[in-house]
Amino acid sequence: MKVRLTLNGEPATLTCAPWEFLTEALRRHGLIGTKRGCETGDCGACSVLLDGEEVASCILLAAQADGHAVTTVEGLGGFERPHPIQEAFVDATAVQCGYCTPGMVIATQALLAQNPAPTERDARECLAGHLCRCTGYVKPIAAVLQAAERCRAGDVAKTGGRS
Amino acid sequence: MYLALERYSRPASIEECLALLAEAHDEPTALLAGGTELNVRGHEELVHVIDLQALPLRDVRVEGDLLRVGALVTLARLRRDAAFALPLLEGLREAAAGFAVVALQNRSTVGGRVCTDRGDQDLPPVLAALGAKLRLLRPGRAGAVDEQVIDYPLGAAARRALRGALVAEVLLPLGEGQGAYRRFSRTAVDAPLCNAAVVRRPSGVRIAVNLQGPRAAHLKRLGDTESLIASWHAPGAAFPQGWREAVRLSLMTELEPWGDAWVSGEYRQDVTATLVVRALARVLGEEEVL
Repeated sequence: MKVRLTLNGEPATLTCAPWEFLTEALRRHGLIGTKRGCETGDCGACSVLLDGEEVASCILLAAQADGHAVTTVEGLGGFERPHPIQEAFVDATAVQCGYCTPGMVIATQALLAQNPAPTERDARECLAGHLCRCTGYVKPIAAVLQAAERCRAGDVAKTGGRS
Repeated sequence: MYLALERYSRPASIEECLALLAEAHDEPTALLAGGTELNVRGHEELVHVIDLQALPLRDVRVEGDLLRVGALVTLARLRRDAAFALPLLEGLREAAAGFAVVALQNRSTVGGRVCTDRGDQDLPPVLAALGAKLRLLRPGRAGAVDEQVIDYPLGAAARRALRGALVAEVLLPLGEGQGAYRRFSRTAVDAPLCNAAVVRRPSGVRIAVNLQGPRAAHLKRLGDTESLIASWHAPGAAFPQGWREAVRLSLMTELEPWGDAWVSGEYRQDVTATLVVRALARVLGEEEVL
């Protein structure tokens, strides 16, 4: 079946089976920043934005995304032009193996779009369910707060990125 | 887990949805709301999903003394929509916030929570304590839609009413009152190991707990303890001194010591009693921990 959606700001068509979840469809489309993790919605590695809201793409049928706007971590920024959230994660050394990082970046984007001045408690709730086996959670929480400051300065989060 | 789905449908109207449901005689078919339970367990044989997302089931509106909540309203919306910012619905907001994580709260729906056949859920005890009703739709004869309003189903027999039906709305009786929900889990993002919902209205107190068994049918109203509380005083009056001990004693008799791989029955019984007492303290405006 054909799934027509807006993918990182551009119209796109994904060819999927009815049983296929969005994580696989995105990765086959080349968007491998979205990671395959628990496949039960528990680990946060597969997080993407669906119409601006954070969702677990591993439990969302690709077909459910038909007609919607999906943003992956690639839609926020890349190596050449990283998003301030991505820069904040690097600068706060909140990245080690990097497997959980795209999900955390997406969660941060969703948080800052709704709440540009989050408290530490807000940051903790934002990252709850994003499992990291390398750095722990202190640095990612610092990264969220740092990202909020940078986005406020540049008013970036509301627009969904600068790439 | 991987699904064996062969068909995905997205009906544009209630009538079309019910027609698809009526056609699904021998084909394992499920209605799909947010989908947070789809890839989790028990759906390996599913062949066809009917995605409800295009149906007009997202309204939240006050009608008389009822708050009508569309089945597709998400838990995230329960947390932040002004319509739910009443003291009476505090437990509902707490239960929504207690469910898993933000990404799942954004997808999980009120109707989905009602239909999920698991005992470790946050929302059902609150709905039972609030005295919620469900509006169900079924395929009728000659393309007609049969409508039925039922009390929130408690027990296996009552839950059979959900079979073959589309839960369209949850109806919440409004009015003065205070609600509270307390849960205990391994971590903040895990499903509850014990929970309790209490609603106090001028007419009396209602208490409901889940986790008296593994299935949704094990959701239970604590009628004996409610009666004990009602026997003390006129509705709305202050509780007597020593109410916590009396309530706990009643609860330890009324709660079943159901254990599973996570916790023993005695532990769950004891913690659930504590949660009920704390929720009662909250609705009375007293300190939860003495």
